[in-house]
Amino acid sequence: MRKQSCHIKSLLERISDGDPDAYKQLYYLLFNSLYKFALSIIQSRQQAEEIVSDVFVKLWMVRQSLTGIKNPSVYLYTSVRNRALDYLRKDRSHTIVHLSPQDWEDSLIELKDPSDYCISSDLMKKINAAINQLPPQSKVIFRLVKEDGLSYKQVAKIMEISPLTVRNQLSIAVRKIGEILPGYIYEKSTVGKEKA
Amino acid sequence: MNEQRFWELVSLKLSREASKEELTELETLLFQHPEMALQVDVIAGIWNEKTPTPDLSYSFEKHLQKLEKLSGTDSSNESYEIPPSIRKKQPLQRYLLLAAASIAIFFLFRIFFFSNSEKIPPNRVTALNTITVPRGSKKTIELPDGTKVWLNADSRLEYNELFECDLREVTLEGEAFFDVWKDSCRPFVIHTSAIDITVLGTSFNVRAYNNENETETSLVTGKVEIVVKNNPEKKIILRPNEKLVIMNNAYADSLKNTQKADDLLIVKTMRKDPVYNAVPETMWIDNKLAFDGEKLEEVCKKLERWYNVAILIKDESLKEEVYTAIFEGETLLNVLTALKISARIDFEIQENIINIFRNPNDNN
Repeated sequence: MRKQSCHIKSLLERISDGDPDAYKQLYYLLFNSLYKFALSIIQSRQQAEEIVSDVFVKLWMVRQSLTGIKNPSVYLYTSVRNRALDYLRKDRSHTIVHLSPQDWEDSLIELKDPSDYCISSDLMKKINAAINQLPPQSKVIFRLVKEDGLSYKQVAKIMEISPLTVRNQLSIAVRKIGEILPGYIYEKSTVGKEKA
Repeated sequence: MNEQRFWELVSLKLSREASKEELTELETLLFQHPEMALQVDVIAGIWNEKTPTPDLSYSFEKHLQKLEKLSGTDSSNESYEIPPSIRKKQPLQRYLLLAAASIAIFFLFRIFFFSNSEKIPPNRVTALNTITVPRGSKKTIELPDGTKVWLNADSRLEYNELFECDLREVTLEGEAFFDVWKDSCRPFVIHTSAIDITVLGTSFNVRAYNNENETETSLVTGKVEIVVKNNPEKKIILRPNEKLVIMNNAYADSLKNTQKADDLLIVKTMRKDPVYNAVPETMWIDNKLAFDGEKLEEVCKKLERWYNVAILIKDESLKEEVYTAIFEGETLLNVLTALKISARIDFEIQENIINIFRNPNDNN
C-alpha cells in the first residue's frame, strides 16, 4: 500500500491549493489509521478522536506549506503521536475514561470472517488471541505495517525506534501466527494420501 | 530448518521489505519444505485482508464544526476559510512557508540546470532525480512507488519528481534489474535509447549501454511489452524466461542494407545455470560476473565497468573469441588469468590500462 503515500502527496498538493474536496478525501483515507494509532497511546476513544481531529485542523491551517513536507505519512503519524504524548503529560487533570486494556487492544486489529481465509473459526480465534498476546509495542508495529502499509523506515521514524527493531518485532509477530497453523495443514495432507 | 529465519523471511516478504536475496532464500526454503507453503498462503491471505474502515460521515461532520469554530468563520462549510488574523498567529506556518519557498527555489534551480525541457509538463514545477553509478560499483534503490531497482556499474537512472503520483516513467542508460511494484492503474515505463518497455508489476533485467551494439531485456517474472523506437509499429510481448535482443540504432543503421529488419530483433529463451539456479543475465545482482558465450570484445567491456579499468585488445582477430564463465568475488587478476588459461590470449597490466594480446606460444 506504499503507493498510498503517493496518493497522500497528491491530495496534500490539492489541499495546499485550498481544495476542500481533497481535504475530505484525506480525512476519509487516514482518519481510521491515525485514530487507531492515537488509541494505542492514549487508550481513550474520545481523546483519540479529538487528537486526530486536532491534527487535521492544524493541517488545514498550515495548508499552504504542505507541499514542503517530504514524508507526509511520517509527518501525520508523528503529529498524532506528539499530540497524544502532550496530552498524557499536560492534561492529567482531565478525566479520561479509560478503556479496559483488553478492550482497546482488541480494537487495534480486527480480523474478518474466517471463511474468507478458508480456515475454521476455532483457528481464527487462536490467531486473534496470538495477535492480542503480543507486547503492546509489537502490536502497534504490526498494525502500522500490516494495516497501514507503512515501510519499516517510516514506522521506525514514527515510533522513534530503529528499523531493525521494527524488523525483529514483526518477524516475531508473524512467527507467532505461523506457529499456530502447522498441525492443521499437515494432517489434512496425510488424510489425502491414505485415501489414495 | 531454522524456523526463526524462515518466519523472518516470510515477514519481510509480507511487508515488502525483502531483498532479492531474501526472496530467493525463502523460495529455496519453501522448495525444501513444501509443507510450509500452505501456512504461508494462509498468513498472506490474512495479511492482505485489511480491516474495513467504518463510516466516517458523522465523524467528519463533527470535525468540520470544530474546524469552523477554531478558524472563527461562520461562512459556508465548503470553503473552511481561515481569516488572515488567525493565520498570522501561526509562527510555524510562516516557518514552513519559508521552507516551502526555499524548496521550490531549489527545484526551480535544478530544473534550470539539469532537466530536459521537453519533459516538463506546463504549469507544474517538476524536477528530475538522477541516480548515477560509477564504474566499479553497484547500487540498489527503492523508487517512491515501492519499485526496487538494482543498478549495475556505469549506469544512470532518471525519474521525474512527479513520478509517484502521475506517471511511473524512468529513463535508463546502462544496466538495471527492476522489481516493479504492482499497480494496475499506473503502468511503469522504462525509456532507453532504443526501446520503451511498459510493465505493470514484474521483475526483469534491462541492459542498454550506449557503447554496446545490443539492447537486452530479460524477463524473470510477469509480462512486459516492448516498443522499438525506430519501428514503433512493432510491439513485442515477453513471457517469463524470455529475452529480447535488439541491435542499437547506430549499429542497426549500418546493417540495414545488408540484413532484413527482423534479424535486428531476436527473442531468445534464457538458460538457467544448473549450478547457480539462475540465469546469467541477472547474476550480477548477486555479485557474480557472468559471461554467457560472449565475444572477448563484450567480455572486456563488462570487465572495464566491473573493475573500473581500461582494456585494450591489441589484436583485432582476438575480438571474436567466445567465453562462457561465472566468477564470484574474484580479483581482476584472477579473472584475467582464468581467461588466459582457457584461450590464446595473454595480458599485461600498466596501472589502469590492461593490454590484451595474442599469446606468443599460441601456434595458430
